[in-house]
Order: sequence, then C-alpha cells, then structure tokens
Amino acid sequence: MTTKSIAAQPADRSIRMSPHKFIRSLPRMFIMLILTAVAVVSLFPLYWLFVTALTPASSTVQLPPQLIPKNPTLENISEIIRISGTGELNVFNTGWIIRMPRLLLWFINTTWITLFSTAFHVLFDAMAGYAFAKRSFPGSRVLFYMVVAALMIPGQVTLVPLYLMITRMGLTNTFTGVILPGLADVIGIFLLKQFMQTLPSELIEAARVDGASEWTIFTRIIMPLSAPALAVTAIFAFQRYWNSFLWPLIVLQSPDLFTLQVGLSYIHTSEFGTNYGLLMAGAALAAVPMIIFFFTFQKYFMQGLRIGAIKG
Amino acid sequence: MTTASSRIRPPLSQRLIRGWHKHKWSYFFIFPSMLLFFTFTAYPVGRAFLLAFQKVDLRGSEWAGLANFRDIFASQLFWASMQHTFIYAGCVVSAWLITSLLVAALIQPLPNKIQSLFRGAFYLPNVISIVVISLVWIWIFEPQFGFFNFLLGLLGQEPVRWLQNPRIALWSIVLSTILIVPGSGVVIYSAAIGSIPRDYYEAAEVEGANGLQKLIYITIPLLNPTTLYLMVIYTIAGFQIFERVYIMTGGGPINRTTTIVQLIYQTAFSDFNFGRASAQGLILFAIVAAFSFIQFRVLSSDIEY
Amino acid sequence: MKRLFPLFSLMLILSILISACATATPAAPDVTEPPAAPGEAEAPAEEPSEPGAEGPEPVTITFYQRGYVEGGEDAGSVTTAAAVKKFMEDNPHITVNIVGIPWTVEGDTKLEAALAARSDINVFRVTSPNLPRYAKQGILSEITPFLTEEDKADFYESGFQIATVDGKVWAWPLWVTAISIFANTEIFEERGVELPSIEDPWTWDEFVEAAKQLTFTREDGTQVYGFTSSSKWGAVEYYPLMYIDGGRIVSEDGKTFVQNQPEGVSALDKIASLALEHKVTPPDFGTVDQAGVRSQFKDIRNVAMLMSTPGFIPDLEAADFPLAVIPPPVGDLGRLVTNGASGLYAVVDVDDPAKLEAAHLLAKYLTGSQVAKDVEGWQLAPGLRRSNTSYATTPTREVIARLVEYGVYEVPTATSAELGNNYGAMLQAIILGEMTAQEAMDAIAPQYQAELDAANQ
Repeated sequence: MTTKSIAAQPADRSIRMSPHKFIRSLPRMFIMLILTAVAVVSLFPLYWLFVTALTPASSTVQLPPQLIPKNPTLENISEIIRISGTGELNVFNTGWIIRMPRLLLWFINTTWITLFSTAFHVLFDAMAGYAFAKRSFPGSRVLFYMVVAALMIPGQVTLVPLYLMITRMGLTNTFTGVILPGLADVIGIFLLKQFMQTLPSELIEAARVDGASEWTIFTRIIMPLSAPALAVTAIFAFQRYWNSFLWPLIVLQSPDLFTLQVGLSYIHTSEFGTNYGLLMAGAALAAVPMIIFFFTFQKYFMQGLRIGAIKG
Repeated sequence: MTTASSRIRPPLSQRLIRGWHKHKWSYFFIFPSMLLFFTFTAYPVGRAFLLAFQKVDLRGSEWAGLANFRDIFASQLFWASMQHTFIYAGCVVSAWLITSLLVAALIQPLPNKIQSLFRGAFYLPNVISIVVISLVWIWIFEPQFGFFNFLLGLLGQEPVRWLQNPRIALWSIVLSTILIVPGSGVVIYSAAIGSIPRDYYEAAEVEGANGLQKLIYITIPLLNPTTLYLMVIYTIAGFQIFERVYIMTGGGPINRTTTIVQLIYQTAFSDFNFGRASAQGLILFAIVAAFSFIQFRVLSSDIEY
Repeated sequence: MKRLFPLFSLMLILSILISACATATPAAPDVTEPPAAPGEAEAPAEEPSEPGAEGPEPVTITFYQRGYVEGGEDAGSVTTAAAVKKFMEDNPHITVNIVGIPWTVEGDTKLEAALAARSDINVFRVTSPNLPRYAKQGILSEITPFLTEEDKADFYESGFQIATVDGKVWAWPLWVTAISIFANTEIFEERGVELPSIEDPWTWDEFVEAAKQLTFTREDGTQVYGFTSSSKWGAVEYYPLMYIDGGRIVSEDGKTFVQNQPEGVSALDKIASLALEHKVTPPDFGTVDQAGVRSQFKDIRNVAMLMSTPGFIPDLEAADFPLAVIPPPVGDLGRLVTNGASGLYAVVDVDDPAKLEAAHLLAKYLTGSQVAKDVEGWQLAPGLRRSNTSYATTPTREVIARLVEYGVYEVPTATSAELGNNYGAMLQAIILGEMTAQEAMDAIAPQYQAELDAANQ
C-alpha cells in the first residue's frame, strides 16, 4: 500500500483538499464556524443520552431536562447489571464455561455476532458488487434489480414467513438462526456496485494481461481501491447488526444467548411503564462500542491509497 | 450471440459449457450473497407477497383474491397516511441530499484531523436509537417547557403547539428531520468526493474554472452513481418512516401524522392480520419501485473515472 | 488449482465457523425439577382428574411469562420464579418451563410468532385486546370446566367480564388496574381544598370547582393546573370519566356501539369542558403521554390531580410524594365508577389432557389468593377475587382495592388497530375542540358498528 513520505506531505495535502476555490475563498473560519454550530446541534441528542444515563432514574424525565447532571450516578448501569443477573458463557461451545454478569455476556454475544456478520457481509457484498459493477454475465441486470427491489419491502412483512422457515430448519434459539438472515441483507451490494463501477477498467485489463488471476485482481486491486466504500459498508453494517433487535428477539429464547438490545428490552419496560433512566443507560452502553468502531474505521477514508495506484 | 443466421449454432450443451467457462468467475463472486439472498430474503418476500392475496390467521390461510386490497383502498386512514408519507418523503429526501452534499463538500478542503472530527460529529448521532432521538425532539417541541417555545418566548412570541396542533404536527416532524444533517449521506459523499482523481480538477484549473464551476461541472456529475444510491436509499427510508413519527405523536393528533408503515406495523403486529399487512407492503413497494425506476433512468450511467 | 484455492478455503472457513455457531445450544431448561416435598394440594382437587389416582404421570408444560428473565433480579422475574417454584413443590409431577417475553409490542410479536409456528406453549399472559382473537381462532381452552363453585363465588363479576368472549370465559383473571385520581396534598392544602373519599365522593360539579380552585399562577410565575391525564392514543388513562353518566363504549352484550347515545356523549362533553371551558388542564392535554404527565405531576409538581393507573404508586412512594388517592367524581349515573387494564392468564388448548389440566392448575394458582401469601411482592395490582386482599398494604393501595368493585369493564371485542386509531382521533378531536362529542361519536359509529358486526358473526 502506498505510504506517505515526508516529501510527499505538502503534495498530499493539496491533493486531499478539494480544489473548490470558490469555497476556499470564503474565510475558512467562517465555514468551520457554521459546521461547528450544525455539528453541535446534531450531537445534542447524543449528549443528552449520556446525561440522562447518568441521572438517577427517579428524576429522569424532567421538563426542562437538566443539561448538566446534578448528581451524576452510575446507579442506572448498576441497576441493569443487577436485574439481568448472572449467566454462563459456553466458549465456542467447547464446554468451557465462564460465569459472568449477564450484561457482559450480552456484550460478548453481540460483539461476536456483529463482527462475524460484518466481516462476511462486507466480503460477500464486495464480491457481488464487483461482479455487478465490472463483469457482465447473463442475468446480471435482473439479479441486480431484484436486489434493489428487495430493499423496498418493509421488514415487518417478511418477519413471520422468515420465522417459520427458521423454525423448520431447527435454528430457533441459535446464533446461526440470528446471523444467517442478517447476512442476506444486500444493501451493501448496491452501495459497492455504485462505487466500484467508477473504478477504471484499464487497471483490471492491465492486470489480466499481466496474467493475474481473477481472485488476485479482486483482492489486490479492487478491494484496496474501494477502501473508502468498504469502510462505509463496514460501518453501516456494524451499526445495523449491533442495533438489530426485532429479529434476535424473536429467534432467541435463552437469556444467556441474548444480544444486548434484546436483553435490555426486557429490563427497561415493565407492565406498568418504561423506566427511562434504564432505557437511556442501556442505550448509552450500547452506543459506546459503535462509537469506537466508527473512529477506528474512519481512517480508511484517507485517499492516499488511491492515488498511488493510478500513478504506478 | 451469433450474427450470421446461416451459421450452424453449436449444440446447447456446448453453449452452456462455454458460457460456464466464460462466466464462472462472475457466478463465483455472486454466489455467497445470492445464496443467502434467495434463501432468506427473496423466498420469504415471495411468500409474503402471496399472503397479500390471502386471509391469514393462526389456523392457516385461505385464498382471498383482491379482498385485502379492496379493504385497504376503502380505508380513509390509508389515503390520509399516503398523503402524509408523500409529503414527508418529498421534503426529507430533497433536503437530505442537498445538506449532505453541501456538508461533505465543505468538509473536504479541511485538514485531515479536522475532517475526521467533523465526519464523526455528523455521523455519531446515527448510532443512537431512533427512540432516543424522538424523545429529545418531544422535549424540544414541548409547549410549556420545550426549547423552541423557550426561544420564541425570548423573541416575545406566543408559544406554538408544535405537536399538538393537528395542522402543523406533520410539518414539525418534517422540520425535526431536516434540521439534523444526515450523517450517512455526509460519510458516503465524503468517500465518493475523495475518490475523484485530482487530474480532473487540475485540468479544469488550467482552463480557468473557478470553484463553483468545478462543483457543478465536475464534482456533481461524477457523483451521479453516489447520488443515485443516496436518492434511492433516502426515498426508501422516507417512505418507510415510522418509529420517529410514532413515538413523537402516535400518528395523531387526530390521525394527522399517520404514516403507511405505521399502518403496516399495526396491521401486522397488533391485529396480526398478515394477509392485509402484506398487501399494504406490496402497495408501498410498488410506489417506491416506481420512483426508483425513474431515478435509475435519470441518473444511471456508466461513469468511470 | 491455484485459482480454486481461494474458493475452497473460503468455503472451508465458512463451514467451520457456521458449525461452531450452530451448536450454540441453550443452557438447560430454566427451572429444574423441584425437590421432593409432600404434595400439598393448595386448592381443592379438580374434577377432571380421577379421584384416588396415585402418583399422576409426570407432565411438562411451558409458560410464557411477560418480563421474565431467568435469574433476573427485577421484581417480576423474582416473583415469577418463586411462584413457579412453589407450584412445582406443591405439584411434584408437574415441571414448568418458563420462557420470557418482554412487555413491549415486540413481545407480542414474539408470542404470536411462537403460536404461529406451533411451538410449545401451554400457559401465557394474554392482554385483553388479543383475547377475542385467540378465542375465536380456537386456540384457547375454556376455563369454566376447571372452576369450582368456590371459585365462581370468589371472583368478582367484573373479573369474568374481562375474560368473556361469546359468553364463555377463556382466561383466568389475574388482576385489574383500577384507575383513580392521585392528589398532591400539598397543593390541596395550599389552596384550601378538601379531599373527597370513597364514602364521600365529589359530584362532577364539585370536582370542577376544586379543579378551578387548584388552577392558579404562583408568585414566581409558574402555572399550576388542576387536572391532567395521559391522553395520547394507546395510553389513554382518563377512561373512567367516560362512564360517569352511565354511558359506555360498547353495549354489555358486545354487539352495539353505544357511545353516541346521550349518556356517552354527555360524559365526553364533560371531559372536553375541562380543557375548553374551565381551562383547568395543561396545554398538552389530549395528546400528552404517560411519561409526560407523570413527570409533570411528580417531578415538576405543577399539576394538582392526575388520573392514572396504580402502577405509579410505588414510584410516588419512593419519592416521598405527598400523595392521596381519591375516587373519580360521580356523574349522572349516581355511583362511583372506575375502569382499567386487566391481566389474564390463558391456557392453550392442546390434545393432551394431562398437560391441559396441569396448565389450568398453574393458571389457577397464579390467579388465586394463596400465591400472594407464598410469594412476597407478588400482588402488583388489586386481585379479582374477593378473598384476595393482599394488595392493600398501604392506605393508598387500600383505596384502589376498594375501587375495584365499582369497575365497569368493556367486554373484550376484536377490533382492528385502525379502528382504534380512528377512535382515538375522535377523542382527540373532541378535547382539542375540533368536533363536538356528538359529531365525533356519530362519525365513528358506522365504522365501529361494522367491525363489531364482523367480529360477532
């Protein structure tokens, strides 16, 4: 992969700056000011979420809400831990049992399911996106339109047929039953196809002429060049799988197998109403790994990788 | 296909074998996702669509022809929710496309670290559940203690009943949606803009183009594939709007903010009338598909950099 | 070969990982065999079992319970686990598996999906709106054969009312949340208003007078209102007021929509007058949800009276709130009325008579008077048996418990969510002043009646 030499730094920066002189002519500070203002507005719900998570449940839903928590407390989180009890983790089904608080167990379950699903979702959808973008084969148009059409159907409608199918396959209350239908989510194909079709075909041709195998072309050329789109797909997929709620709820029955969102839903709503303190605390906890994942994958937006490929 | 009709066409088996050799890698690449897609998406969708023509309950299902559709079209609430959904989607899709493109373009010139910061700032709100966002907006719109009426009070204006007034409740919800920059659009446009090779801009500069011209003649056209993607996705999302509205107003007041997916959701999960819910889903699908068809026609092109 | 290598390795990795996950089987069934204990039948023996049958066959039933998390420490999970454990001790031949479903709407979906897939279910907590549908689709087992004479005398009439569809009783009545008015005694004192009581309730006019007296502006400018109630559709808590003039929504036989009759309309007019004429309600009355009104009543304390469900009492007590529970005002009907949501346990109709009997036994135990004595904290709402007095542990709860006998409950009818939306819209239209009560009820009558007719075929 291209590395940025020190000598290349100034050039890099000018490459990365979009040469929109119209925009550069406005005072940079002014733009940043506006962007900052808009960003603050956008971030407000996130801030409020964490504030409420740290507010004692008895005084949560206050109007007007306290913007700075008066008595920040972790009692909501400890309450969630207390209520959910302890469970057992069967590590990779080897029989090696570890007892731990259920909240942690749910974290682990969700992390495992999400990372696994995200990795394969990105891989499979990249493969298919590449094929739809750069290769013509019989049925490609029809299949692609089917894929896009599938996105237009509201999920509520397919839930029950899907559940009946999973039951017949004997996959209820298993991770497989949760993961497989989730992997069938094809929105990545659409995004990656749109992106990959902008990649120059000469590169591919050149590589073929050089004798590279199809798989090598895919892994050595297409994937690196698509790093930004892959990163985007990964982030969106991670978010979808991490927050996925209704399907895992229907499929999973044992509390030791629950994902985070499923487990939390049992806790914050009771027969007599919703405990907003617990709801917010749960949502805050669930949001943290997402934030980490996002910042980790952000760096793939950097375009240095791309430029090297064209020049060389 | 062969052009000269006088040529003897090779036997089917040979054509299949040649086709296989020619396309086997293509099929290999699409195989895993297509397998999953057909098993877990296409097949249930097909069954669901069949349900649209049946009456379904826990005992089983029986054929009902167009009965579900007749009931749906006879429902006044259905037409009202169509109207609300169209209004919402129309406003929101256009606003989102414009703001995300603008923000992404404005972020682009900035130094790396700051770019990351801003991208994060705009995307992060996406990671929290829609439940939380809706609750925040309920507070902001609250007639006695809410933030907006507080601001109005500072300006000496009367408080507005944002979500309580049947005439403006829908517009309040539209406002709440477009005031927040869509992080996904910013992120995607960022990725796409960053991929445009410098050469194009350099060539344009040589010709004496200024910033705005570069934006209009280079950036936007080259972003067509991305814009198509976002337009389709946002249209789908706009028409499928549900939780946000449901939490903020429950579809009221006086059913003036009911959306189509709310009806589907209630039909499916309160009435458990899956036949009718599937029919509603089919109608929604047809509408969105029609829009997407137009969008594909207009924006689809084989753009290569 | 080189070209196929990636393909093979991919499929190999995939199959390994998937098989690893596929065998992630659940832990052992939730509740294990009870220790051998003398089999004390805590209720009179059931007729269907043969007398003198020694050592009945072991039978396993599955119980879908709301809000239950195995090993969970919240009140619901703890009491459920304890109650089931005691039940299994008393009935050693019965093993109960508990499956938890959350209280959210998604929990309904989970239950429904399980029913659709014909999974093992024997007893489940059913919500009133869903009862008619399940009954009509023939999946429930009628409880009447399993009721003793003592049971029939012990349950309140209203208890059977809420579980009756087509003249038959399809579920065991657990409890009902009798709605009352919560009063902020500090504000009452501040304004010199006397509290009413069950023995000496307010008339409607007295109620309005009090509410007006309790609506004022404080010195610091905060506005205090006399009355409010959750009014967002789906969370309407001012229901009792609809019945005070003798009106109701649907006739007692469940066949006719009657709220557009004078008694129904006059009550709705009264409710609307609170907002439009007497102006004793906050600006969001009509659309505000439960969280909003509870925050106004308990935290901001700018509302003197809140009509709400008894589920709020523990929160108020925990916050040391100056609380008094008073009955709804008396209207033209001339007597106290209340309304509320009900808890019911339904038994699924299965072919195995042993399972059926075991399931009914469990449901009867959970809705009986004994369970509250066996399990501390079980009784979260007033029970529907005369002999069940376990709810009234504090003076405020006692008022609630006494109100239950004045309960007027609608017969469960299977109406669509869409009709609900339209009906709720009409209620809002009345309160917001967009339509008169008569206009609104006449507008909804045709659709309501049509659905009632369809449901009663």
